[in-house]
Amino acid sequence: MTVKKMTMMAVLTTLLLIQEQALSFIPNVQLSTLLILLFASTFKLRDSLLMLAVYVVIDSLYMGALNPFYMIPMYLGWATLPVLYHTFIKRHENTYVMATLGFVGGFIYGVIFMPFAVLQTGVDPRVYLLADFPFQLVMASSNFITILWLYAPLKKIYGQFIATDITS
Amino acid sequence: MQKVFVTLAMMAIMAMALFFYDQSLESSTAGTLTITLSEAGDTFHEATHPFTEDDTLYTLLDAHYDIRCADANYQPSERCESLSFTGVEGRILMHVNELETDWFTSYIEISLNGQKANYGMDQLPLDDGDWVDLNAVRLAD
Repeated sequence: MTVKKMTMMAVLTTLLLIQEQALSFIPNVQLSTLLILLFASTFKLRDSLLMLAVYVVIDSLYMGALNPFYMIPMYLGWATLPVLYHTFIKRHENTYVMATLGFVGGFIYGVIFMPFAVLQTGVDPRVYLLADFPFQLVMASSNFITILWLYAPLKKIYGQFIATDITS
Repeated sequence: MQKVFVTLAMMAIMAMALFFYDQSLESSTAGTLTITLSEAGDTFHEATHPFTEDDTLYTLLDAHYDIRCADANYQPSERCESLSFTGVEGRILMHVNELETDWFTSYIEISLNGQKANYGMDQLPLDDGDWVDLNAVRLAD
């Protein structure tokens, strides 16, 4: 990995953290899904997973949540996006497919936390899912709308700054 | 133009789903509620409070206790904002008088009549004679 590529990955991971904190006053509304998919579309899967690992560790340190019951599902939840992108979407990429992936990702992210919450607190899984449903729905919908409107223009701008030699 | 319609449709679906979710929740009946505060299962406070159909566990706690709820950064806040722009309230209780939790290593477990509650303090349906226990659970214990 070149220094240039490493630096770019660090800057983009920082961007991911900053926008999350900037939008933290609105629960479950963020641009994280949009940015993770944008990064996944240009970086290799292993690079995306590495960026997400750094993001989750720093986010957990910053929020005081250095706890495997939060960190592991958070990482799995976010990592699902580049994995799904590289497995199913890469060759059929269009805005609506990406927005649908973001929508589904909102629910997957919420559901992944469920077994960890059950293990940690003993809460009934059905109760957890029911209580979390409104938040999953808000996350899924905001993912869909932000990707629908911002993915294509951001990718265009992003492509002007991210050189091919960095991402390959 | 297609994007505008799809966006509006998505927002409408979200609004309808949240509305029906809210409507599916049971409402309270009037009566009296006994609230106990416990630390790791040891009760140190017990009081009975009257309530009306319009009350929730949150409004009762807010009226009779010094409470703090999680803010958007998972920190205790006296403002106890619902963080709800969706119409579905969802406060997370972190402090009640001297009962204090920190979200990450401890939490307040709500029990209704000796059983773990299925809802939080904004949505828990209350009936006359109910007993609610607020127990601080320390995950490191």
